[in-house]
Amino acid sequence: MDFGFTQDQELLKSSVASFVDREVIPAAARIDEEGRFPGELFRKAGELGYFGIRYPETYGGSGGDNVMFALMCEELARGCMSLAASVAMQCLMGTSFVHRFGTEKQRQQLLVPAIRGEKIGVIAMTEPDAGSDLGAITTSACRDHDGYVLNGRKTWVTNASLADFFTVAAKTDPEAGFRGIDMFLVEKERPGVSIAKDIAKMGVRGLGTGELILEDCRIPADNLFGQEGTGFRNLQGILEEIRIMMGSLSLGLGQAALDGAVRYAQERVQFNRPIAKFQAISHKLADMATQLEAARLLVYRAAWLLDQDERDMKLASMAKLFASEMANQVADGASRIFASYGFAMEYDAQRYFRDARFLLLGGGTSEVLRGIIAYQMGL
Amino acid sequence: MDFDFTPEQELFRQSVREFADRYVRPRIKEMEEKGDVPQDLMQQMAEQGFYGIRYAEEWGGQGGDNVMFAILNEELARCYMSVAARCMMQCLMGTEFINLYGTEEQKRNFLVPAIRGEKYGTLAITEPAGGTDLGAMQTLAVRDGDEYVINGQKSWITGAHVVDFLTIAAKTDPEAGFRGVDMFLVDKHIPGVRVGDKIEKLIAFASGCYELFFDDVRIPADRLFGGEEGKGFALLRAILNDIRVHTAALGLGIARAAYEESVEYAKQRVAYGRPIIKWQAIQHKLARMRIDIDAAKLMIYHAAWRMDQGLPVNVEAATAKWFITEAVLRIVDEATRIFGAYGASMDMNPQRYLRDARWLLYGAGTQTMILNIIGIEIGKE
Repeated sequence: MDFGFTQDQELLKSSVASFVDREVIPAAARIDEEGRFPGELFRKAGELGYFGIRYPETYGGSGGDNVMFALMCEELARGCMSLAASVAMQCLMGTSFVHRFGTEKQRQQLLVPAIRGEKIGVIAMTEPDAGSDLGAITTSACRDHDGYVLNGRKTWVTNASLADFFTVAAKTDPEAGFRGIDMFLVEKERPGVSIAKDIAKMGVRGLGTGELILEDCRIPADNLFGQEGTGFRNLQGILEEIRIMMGSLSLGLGQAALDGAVRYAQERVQFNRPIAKFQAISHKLADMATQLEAARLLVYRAAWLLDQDERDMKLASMAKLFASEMANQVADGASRIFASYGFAMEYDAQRYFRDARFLLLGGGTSEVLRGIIAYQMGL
Repeated sequence: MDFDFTPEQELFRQSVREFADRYVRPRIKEMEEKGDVPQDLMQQMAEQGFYGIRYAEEWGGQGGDNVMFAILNEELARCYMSVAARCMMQCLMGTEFINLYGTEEQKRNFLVPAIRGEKYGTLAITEPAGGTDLGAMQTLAVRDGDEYVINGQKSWITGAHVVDFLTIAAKTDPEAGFRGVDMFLVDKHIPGVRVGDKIEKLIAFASGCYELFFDDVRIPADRLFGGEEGKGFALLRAILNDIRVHTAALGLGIARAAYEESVEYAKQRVAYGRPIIKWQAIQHKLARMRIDIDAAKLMIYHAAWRMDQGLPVNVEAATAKWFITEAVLRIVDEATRIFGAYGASMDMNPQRYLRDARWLLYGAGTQTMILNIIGIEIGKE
């Protein structure tokens, strides 16, 4: 057993951490308050090479491993969840299909600029009546001599209004449930593509969330990722990574909330001593730190296993389930320690509390994950 | 034993609910956006007689009991926490010191118009450095002939921007810790009283919390509640149980709203071929919500009933408040999960319940403080 990081991993973690301490943390409250996409920091992340962390050097990436991707997500989320989630989308879900199934031309035109931060790619799966139950989507892709015609409405699309290209889940066989799903490349310039207004939400306010509307949107046959009928399988190919990524984001938020609570407990004096000197507070902080460490081990182990080319859906699901619940509990604990200041907009505790809810949704809700874990256990 | 509400209480619950649905609910969006409760709505509640519910008819009140008042709080909070909080301030914390300890003249000048909605009051205790720890308070009241001169700063003062009078805590003896605290009635429209910045917060957007500054504020000596110095802490303690029970009732209102809407949504939302209420994981969430609500309801109304019987409620008020706080936090958490991504949408109610429920974490004492109190009471048994 070896629980240490490699030198590359250490180096990456400390360089992202210093970017976060220097530039992200000071901007996080304002990003949230203004509810604005942190474009400048996002571009900087591109310049720093973050978007290519998991892609080969051929396309401008740095060929990093899953542990490095996890560490990067964790550190970014320690500073600003809206930025971290946008970066993670760009690194993984927004670009992975182009990388794995795109033509060489698509890779050059979309993946390479995306890695440089010149283009933005996002995934569009959820529909108003189909969230966790992906098989219930109704967006259709009909074969039309040399291509497909797409019709449907996607909602809760991350950064929809900023994206240059979308990876869209649509049904080539409406009768076949989730096995009838395929994934398509839809560039924003295509006729029939329109974007509806952003959804106002409680948390991750710097992360755009909009609707993608497809009306008789015609795309060439090349824009089908993989063979017809393989969409769900191809999506599953990155589900472990998505779950580990969500777990990593959870670690960052948990760490930020814990750090803030520890600092406050040491500074805030009531009954003539810092409240950290009361057992009710110090034991709560001890529990929060313990939960965080346990989550960290699960997430890192799941990432490390992937690097050993062992796909373990159960462990990845456990990591996401445990870490996202941990982040919510730690954010709750932190805001209690801040008492009324836990709700004051001028402190960060309330932002952690709001942003933590986002972690419960992406990559599978806790209920869905429990179902998957149970299934993997043979139940 | 009789666990039923009286027909009068049921009727009252119905009438509050109708009022809330008709006059409060359509304006929630507007209030959330503006971050305030409009005065004309405050006035409508006066016309309903809400502010006098627990006061004697002699002063224009209804002479209702604590069970009735808890019903009012629960039903208003079931609709909208910010309005419920402002109403409760006017019914209880903002006016009770005058009712209990005020002179005849003070009752005529402040309590009677407050019940009519012609004047509004609030309670100002918390300071930046003194929240749970009352003894750390720094606002001073210094006797000067027939007057007191008040200097200091308060924070988290509900409705400070619209009220006409304040019940404030200030130290007459700065060396004496919490025993040096006294309570005073202060007219807000006199020189030296200044309302500071609004405190932007996550919860109860429209309740309106402000900073308040006192700069050489002079008040007549008879504005000291309790007739003599050094009694403030005892006077305050006398209404803490009321505040706890009724804050708990607010929590119950939010809990019920979140539960009822979750049930509706779970019946409509289809996933994997059936309404999600048919899935055990969702069913059990709803079942746990129901258990929490039923238990909390018994605890809260039991405590209210004991108060009405004149029985001691130090333990009951604290346990009810602690329990509903944890219960409502569980319930709103599960409600937003049942709503999935829509649980985070600002166009839907669950996110509001998730935020507003956190009011319970500090209103009427933090959970840590409540456990201290229960622990102390257990030690005395």
